[in-house]
Amino acid sequence: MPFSSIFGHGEVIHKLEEAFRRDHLPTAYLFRGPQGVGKGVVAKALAQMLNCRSHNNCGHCPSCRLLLRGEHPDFHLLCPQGKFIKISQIQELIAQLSLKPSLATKRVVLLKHADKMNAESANAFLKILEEPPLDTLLILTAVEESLMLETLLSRCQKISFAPLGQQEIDAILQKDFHLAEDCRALVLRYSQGCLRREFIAKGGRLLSLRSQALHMLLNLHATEMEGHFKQLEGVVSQNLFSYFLEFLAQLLKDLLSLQLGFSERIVNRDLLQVLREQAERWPAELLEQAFLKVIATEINLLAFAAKGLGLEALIVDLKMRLGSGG
Amino acid sequence: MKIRIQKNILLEALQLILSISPKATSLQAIGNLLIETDANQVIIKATNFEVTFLGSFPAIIEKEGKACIQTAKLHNLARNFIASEVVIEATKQNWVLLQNGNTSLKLPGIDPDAFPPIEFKQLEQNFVLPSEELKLAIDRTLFAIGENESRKNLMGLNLEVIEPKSIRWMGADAFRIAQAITDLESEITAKGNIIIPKKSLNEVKRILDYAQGPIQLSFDENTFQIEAGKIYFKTRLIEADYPNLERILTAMGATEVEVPKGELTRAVRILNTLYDGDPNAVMKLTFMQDQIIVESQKLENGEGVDRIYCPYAGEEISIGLNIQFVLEALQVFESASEETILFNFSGSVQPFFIRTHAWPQFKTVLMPVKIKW
Repeated sequence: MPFSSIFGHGEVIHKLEEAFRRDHLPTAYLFRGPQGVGKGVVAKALAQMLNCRSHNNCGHCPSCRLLLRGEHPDFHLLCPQGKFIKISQIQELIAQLSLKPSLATKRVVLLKHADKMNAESANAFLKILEEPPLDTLLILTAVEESLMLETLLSRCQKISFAPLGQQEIDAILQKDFHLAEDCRALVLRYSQGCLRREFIAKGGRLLSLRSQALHMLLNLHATEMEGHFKQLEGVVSQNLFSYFLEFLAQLLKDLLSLQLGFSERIVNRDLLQVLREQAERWPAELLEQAFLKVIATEINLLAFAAKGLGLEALIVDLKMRLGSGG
Repeated sequence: MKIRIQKNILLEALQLILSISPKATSLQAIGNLLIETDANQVIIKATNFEVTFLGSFPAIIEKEGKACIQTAKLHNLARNFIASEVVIEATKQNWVLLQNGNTSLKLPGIDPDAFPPIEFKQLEQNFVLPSEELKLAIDRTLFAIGENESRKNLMGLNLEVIEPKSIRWMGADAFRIAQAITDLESEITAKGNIIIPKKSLNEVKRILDYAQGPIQLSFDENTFQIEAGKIYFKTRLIEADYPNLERILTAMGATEVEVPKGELTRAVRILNTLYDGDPNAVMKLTFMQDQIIVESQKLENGEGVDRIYCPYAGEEISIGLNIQFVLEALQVFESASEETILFNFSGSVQPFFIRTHAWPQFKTVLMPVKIKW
């Protein structure tokens, strides 16, 4: 993909092009930024540019064609296998890098989620960084830089990726994903400056999940509880609990924003009418407490608490706090 | 494309590339081979990006074209074919149709244009060698080539043009060296040295078993290439500088002992069996008046002592050696015509040389182990 087809990150791309033009490419880059912001896309485009016959990502030369098919012998992509990047993956990479390049003028290693290297693999990778092979560019991407070894960080030139703007995300969604209008709008609202691929994949289901969350929030009566619990079972079995909690938290935040007069901060704009009608049902303090409770539940569930029980306890808690409102 | 090829020719070709084209791979292209038609033959190509193969094999071409098919599957199918001729046909939709006797098969292929570009060109440095010479050089040095990934410069065979009529082949790890020198009939212009990965040498040996006659060898800074008849093969080189081992190789000890080869090999093999092939097991060679004591360490596995009579008149000296290393070195000498081998040493911790009168251009060096028993 040519750099010109990448949405956003103009400054980063300019910096990379300049480094190449001046022959100032370092041994290793660390691309840091949120998940789904486009670090990997930029890294692949850089690899393509370095090896393209005309250095403009023509897409037609043998190197470009191999890279676009993901079969370039001198482009090595490493991703976590399971929770971590394993030492066997790094050892395999070391063996590959011990050979001279096959076609490339500049070999590129893209180590995605470098923050998911465990101690063994990080130390093995450190050996590559300490004695980098000739004509090889190492690109590491990471979300949580603090999880990486200081010895690794100090050997990489850091490049920060800022979150994408709504317009840029919308342009990507329209170009690369075929989503229904309402799904695209939902993905865009909850994008948080990144392309949330899981969110995109589950688009339609998440739209109805948000409706479920809204329905539960507005109907916290004792008589409705059994129905809510049944729905929560479905949420847990489909492993959608984190999205459910995200919707719940955002709806509460929107209600709070409306009460405090910050209507421009509303995320669920398509529900503005309903939210306006309900905003005055609860005092701000109760909404605030409920919001904090949802966040606390999310933290507990991510720390392996029983998912079904946790969600039920939350709904019961919200009923006690908000059930008498309206 | 439609071709007719003899089953045994197809099988021979597939056996040459089977290990190049791995079955378990996420990269489609490297699990497949490419068949192209060319006059009265087919050109078969395979690559795993480390090594690349191109071979021409006789076939009847009924329709020109090319096909790309999974190597392992084609090999497994061809092994079960009964009739002597196989018809291979490719459709425009990349289906591959196989016909053998009454058996008809339809397999999914991949787009031949998606196969990585493979080309063989004349490299800077080149010379010709009889295939037997190349095979001997590999056989005599392969065992000593290192496998420790932290020392990548020792993970391959060092090919070095030392004189216009002389090539040196060297395999080494941190504990042993095997050096073979090949004298050429005529002078060559090639110069320099390269490190050929150990893994590729097995592929080269397979090709040498298939193709007889002179072999064209060539190399540049990235690639080592051989041309054996209608077979072309190339491998990427190891990116490192080979260590200078000259100082060790020239420090051959003054003490020389001629030892009966068969007896010694048998004694070492017995000790190796005693230790269940433990790669770290150590033995002691004690040289005393007209005999050598071959002795194992006394451990819970048991112990063994053997006595070999040979002319020796020097001071009594004990040298500790790794059993596996000695055995692997001795196995190389099994094909030598002489019944004896030569040991050269100058002390219990100095390099220990093993040679034979039959092969004056070959020597192997083992580094002794310090022993306290």
